[in-house]
Amino acid sequence: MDFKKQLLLLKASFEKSDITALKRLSAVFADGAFEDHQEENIDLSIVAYACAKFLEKPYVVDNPDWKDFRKNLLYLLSKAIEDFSAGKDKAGFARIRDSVKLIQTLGEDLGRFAFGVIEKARLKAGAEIYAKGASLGAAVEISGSEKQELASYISSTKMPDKYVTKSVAQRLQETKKIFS
Amino acid sequence: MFGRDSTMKTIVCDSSSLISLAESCSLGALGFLKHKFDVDFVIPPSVENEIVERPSKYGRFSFSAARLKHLLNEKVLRVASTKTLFPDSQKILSKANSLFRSSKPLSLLQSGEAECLALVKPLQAQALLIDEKTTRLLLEDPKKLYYVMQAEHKQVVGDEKALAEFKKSYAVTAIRSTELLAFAAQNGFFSGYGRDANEVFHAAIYALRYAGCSISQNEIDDYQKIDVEA
Repeated sequence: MDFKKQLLLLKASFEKSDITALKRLSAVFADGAFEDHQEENIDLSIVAYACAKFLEKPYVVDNPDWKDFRKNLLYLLSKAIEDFSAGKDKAGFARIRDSVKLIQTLGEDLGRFAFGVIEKARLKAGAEIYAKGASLGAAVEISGSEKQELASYISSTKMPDKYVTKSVAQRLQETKKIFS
Repeated sequence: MFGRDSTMKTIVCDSSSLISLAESCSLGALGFLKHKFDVDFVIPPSVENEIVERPSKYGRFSFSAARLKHLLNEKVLRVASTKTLFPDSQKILSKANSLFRSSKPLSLLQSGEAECLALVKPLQAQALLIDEKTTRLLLEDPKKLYYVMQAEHKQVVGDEKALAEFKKSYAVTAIRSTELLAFAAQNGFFSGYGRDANEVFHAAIYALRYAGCSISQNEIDDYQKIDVEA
């Protein structure tokens, strides 16, 4: 994945408060994590998703802390872009991890739910990876989500409707045979 | 071998099904079937970590983890391993995670699922209890998995020969928590509910779906037509 290019898109979407673009980018980064085996993609997915969620909530963007958060996050993203431009990938990844920490702090300070924005972002990334074909275990491992939560989240979507291979009658017949 | 007698049935259990059963308060079906049909429910070490050790550290999952730990203590479930479990499961991971590729090979499975598959042959298991869809599709219909993955991502390429070989190499009947519970229900698991047994069974199937079992709405509808023993 071209991190510089993706970061430029992420920064531009955040600057414009483009919630749709941020959510789309979050899914793109999660796909990248499945395809490229790079956990930094998950961090980027978290940043994109969390920013979209924050922007959706008036009690977050109207809070006095929002202004500083926005300024600090844009600074970190700009610096990460500079790092990747200069071939300093390690430093760029560290900036992305710092961005996640910044999000976590704001989420903990202003969030109204026990289930935090980072966990929700990991869950969304995990569901995206699962939809692309990874097993539940692989999706959990790549996204850093929790198996119980991801399983429950996926089951509330229509995804399970795609994976039918046998009739219920056939399955029950096979089960009976196992126990006989 | 592993204390197994000739009449005992062995079922290897993946964490996905045990989580569904725990979260929907249907774990009792395991003990019921174990005693009524002489079933040896086994899990590999990675699954124990996924269902007990890891979730017990988080308050919101600790209730399920504690009940699953109790099943291990009561020997309704047992942890099983073999001398070659680690290399065998690594071999499975290596094969499974090179079946499909996009720009790079795609990591389809992880250690818990691979260890379950690696236990099937040495334990002569009759079935694999698994609720998650990717492992199940690899065992039942790898072409369907290929189709679903391509629908999501056109660049995905699967090795059809390797897919067929994988299915053949690890052939075992996959059952989900819903089939397990339905069989238990048909044999009296819900009989204590008297005339409400059917309603409880149908509701339990729904609960399994929303606890994580990969089952379609049409399949749930089919389950609603089944009457169980009161």
